[in-house]
Amino acid sequence: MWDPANPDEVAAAKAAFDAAKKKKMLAYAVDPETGGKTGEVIREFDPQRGKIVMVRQTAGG
Amino acid sequence: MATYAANATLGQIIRPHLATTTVSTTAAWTPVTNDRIWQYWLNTTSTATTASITWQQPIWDAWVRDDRVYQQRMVFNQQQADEMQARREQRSREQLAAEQQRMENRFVAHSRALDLLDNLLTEDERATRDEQQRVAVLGSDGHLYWLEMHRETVHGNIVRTDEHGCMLGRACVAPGMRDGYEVLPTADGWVGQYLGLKFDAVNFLSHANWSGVRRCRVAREAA
Repeated sequence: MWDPANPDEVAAAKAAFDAAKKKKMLAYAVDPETGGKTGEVIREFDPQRGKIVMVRQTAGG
Repeated sequence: MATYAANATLGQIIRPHLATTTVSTTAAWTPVTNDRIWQYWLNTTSTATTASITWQQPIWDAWVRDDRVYQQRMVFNQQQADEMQARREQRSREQLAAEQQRMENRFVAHSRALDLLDNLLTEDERATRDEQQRVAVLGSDGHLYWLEMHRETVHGNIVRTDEHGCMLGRACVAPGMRDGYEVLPTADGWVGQYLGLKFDAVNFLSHANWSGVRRCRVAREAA
């Protein structure tokens, strides 16, 4: 979660996003207010979102 | 002329000694250190080897019997033991502190993961989780799933069900739970499963191993 109006937080979030994508993690959109309406799989970092959830690559059990 | 055995019996030889002449004419014994005996043993040549081997046992016996040497070794070992004990205790303290820190980190990570999960769940889903330790998820593939949480695991905890409540199969699929040598909090796995089922079910379940797959009981009975 980050404040889209704060450049430092946006930069930190982007760095975390990029690092996670390098590990092939999936990014899901999250409504920053309610936590609901999630689910859109994000391919590119969008600083305006304010909150995303990164999930590690899926593996069968 | 004296033999080692004779001298030893008389108590004249109580420490490791080496003969300076041949075995049969030995009249004097030279006290030596253990290191020297060892070097002598290693470096002796053919003829001397015989003598060396012949006298290894008495020398060793004397070494073992020698109280002074023994006590000296004990004193030295006691000092060493104290130091080693201190090092062991220090190591144990460090390991304990690291383990406590790890447990604390895990507790924090688990709490944060549960918070994240609760943040994603709807109010009804949260209530179901609290009451039944499972969450009903309508997958993006149109199927209904139970995400079970009572076993605190991400293995085989996804149950595909139907409108009758019939179990249609159990899926084992989850986000990778290991980050290097650390295992991620189980709730982080549930978050991944929840999001995967709800918004990306076809792709998510394409990695699953299924068990207990069956047809709907109602449909079977009707057929």
